[in-house]
Amino acid sequence: MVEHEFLKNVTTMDEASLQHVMNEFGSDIWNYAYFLTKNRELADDITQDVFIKAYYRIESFRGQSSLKTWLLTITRNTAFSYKRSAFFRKVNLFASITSAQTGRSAESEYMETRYVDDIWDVIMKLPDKYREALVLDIRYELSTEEMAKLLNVAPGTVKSRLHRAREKVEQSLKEVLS
Amino acid sequence: MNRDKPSWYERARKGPFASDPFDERLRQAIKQKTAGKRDSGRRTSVAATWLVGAATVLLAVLIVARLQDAMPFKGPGGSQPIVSPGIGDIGNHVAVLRAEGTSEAGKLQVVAPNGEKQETLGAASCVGQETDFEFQGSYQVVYAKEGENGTVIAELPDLTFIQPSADTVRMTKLSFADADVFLLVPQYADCHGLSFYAYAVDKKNGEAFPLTFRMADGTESETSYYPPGQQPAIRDGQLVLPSSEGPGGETAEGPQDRIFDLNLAEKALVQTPAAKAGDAGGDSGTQALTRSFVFSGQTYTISYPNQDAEYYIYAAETDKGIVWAPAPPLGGVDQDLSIHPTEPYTLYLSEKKGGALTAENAVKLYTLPLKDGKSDVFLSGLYQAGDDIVYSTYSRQPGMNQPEREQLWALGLDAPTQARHLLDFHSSGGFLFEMGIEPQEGDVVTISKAPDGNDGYITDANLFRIKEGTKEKLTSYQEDEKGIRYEKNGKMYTAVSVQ
Repeated sequence: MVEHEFLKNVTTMDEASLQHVMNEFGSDIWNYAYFLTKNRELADDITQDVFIKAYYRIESFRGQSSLKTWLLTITRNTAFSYKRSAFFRKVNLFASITSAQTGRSAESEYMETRYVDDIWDVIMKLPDKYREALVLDIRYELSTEEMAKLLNVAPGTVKSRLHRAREKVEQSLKEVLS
Repeated sequence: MNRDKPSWYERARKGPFASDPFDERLRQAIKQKTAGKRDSGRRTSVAATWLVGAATVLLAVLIVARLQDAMPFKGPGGSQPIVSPGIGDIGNHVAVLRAEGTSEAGKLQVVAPNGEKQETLGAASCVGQETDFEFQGSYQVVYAKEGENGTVIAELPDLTFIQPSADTVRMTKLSFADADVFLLVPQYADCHGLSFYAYAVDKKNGEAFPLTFRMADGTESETSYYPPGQQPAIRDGQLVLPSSEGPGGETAEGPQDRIFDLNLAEKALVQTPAAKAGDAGGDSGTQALTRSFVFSGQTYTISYPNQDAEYYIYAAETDKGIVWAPAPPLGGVDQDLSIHPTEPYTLYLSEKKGGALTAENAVKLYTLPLKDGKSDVFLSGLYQAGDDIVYSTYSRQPGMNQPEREQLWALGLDAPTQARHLLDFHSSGGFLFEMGIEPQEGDVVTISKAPDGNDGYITDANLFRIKEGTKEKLTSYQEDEKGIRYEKNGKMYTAVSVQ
């Protein structure tokens, strides 16, 4: 987003900018964290870490990629840190956040965990590498080169994974229809 | 060409959940964790920062000095908290010295000025035994030069230590030529990797500061990790973190150690590319980078000038030798979608004897055009097909998210005067493209699928007989894990997938 261009020149972020960045990219980051971990609680924790890291280390954003891609990269690295180690896992965090709120009804919690479209049942069952490439293409519309850098693979590998991912989805949809 | 995407693509743009998962509670949590930095005014005033920090430090140092004589903690069994004998009380909190490291110039101490939550783990897992101790709190890293008061050099909010005893954790000390680097590893065990912080004590001026891990992919982190059961080490003046399997540790060549140069001026540990492991430090930006290819058991390397160029290199083995293309000079590297060649790609042919592939030891075969109208031409694949080379290109203008055009070409190795255009295709944005090559027959099979607007695809399959220079529609073929099975002259062949 052009309006975030100025962030590549700052060494600190103010509250207004943080709020703006969260408004702009909060859902994108949470969803990507969820695509990577398939766990809502982990996605909550990872998303918080991502914006906190971005806030404290905005000076490392040099504008070589878009702000969105930069945040997605932090999300990916953070998600893998969570998978690698229990170090950052704040198991009580989610409980501490919700304890201050009115409890949600069982029905609303159930509805909130259902996918908005059955296509996500298919996509979330894809192997990790295919799922990641596909959602980066569908949801985040990254170019092959942006994806290659984010995933640290060759552009040809990105294309191959995308092709396989799409074919698997096609196949699964056919099986469902039949 | 029909650019409509399949309907399932559009369906997947929504969600996956109906409600916005990034809700107010998450925003508030983020604001709370960043509010401390804003409220202290540290961002706007260095002097104010030190005034606040100095007051805290003085208090912390006083507490630490008293804790030096404290009785060691002894934990009772079960889940009862372990409480220090009351030395260093601050109001209702008990300050704690949790970790320590000593250099010739001074001492690093990790202190919880407001106390810790302490309990036993209670159940065995890969993070520890059931009798291990778990400490949680907000910590400060305090550094005191010999004979001087301490200074807070880092804050570690919401940190958890898991240790087999309640003793003060000894920080791992690694001695570099110009500094001692101390590693703080709060948890001694884990299922996958042990995360740690690093702090440097400059041997020349005795100053201490936290180190940032600056990764080869451009990201930065205040921590890194290494596998349980292994140790970081110094080799040839560089920090070596043992490899780990899985995301972040795996590469196309398999698990590789991560190598870092200590850069005191930048207060960072800077990761070097794997090909440079063993270099004795220095400015990594001025040394040549190389990418390796293995053909028939022999390794070939092609050098490239900087990180941006790595994935613009191609090579393929043919009966006549190795055909390869170095990364051309690139412009627009400050923005991913602006990267473009400023000079055209050139194909070279080198002997099949391994080693470095250079223009000096190669025959220049063919130079691709730099432009396709207003668009820049990129090489995207290089393959053997009989006595020819088949290569794919895409053309794109700076700022374009997807290619404007993708094309397939053939070039004879005996007389490479002019490439022959085979096909235009589209492989992104809902379009599917599969290609296989039977290298000895010199056959190329392509399958293009374009969305038909009714959740289906229009398929166009072709067999290019490169040797004969012919093209025919394929009405019958089978795709399997290896590639595309097709029939020619009554015989079945497999065009191995290359895309």
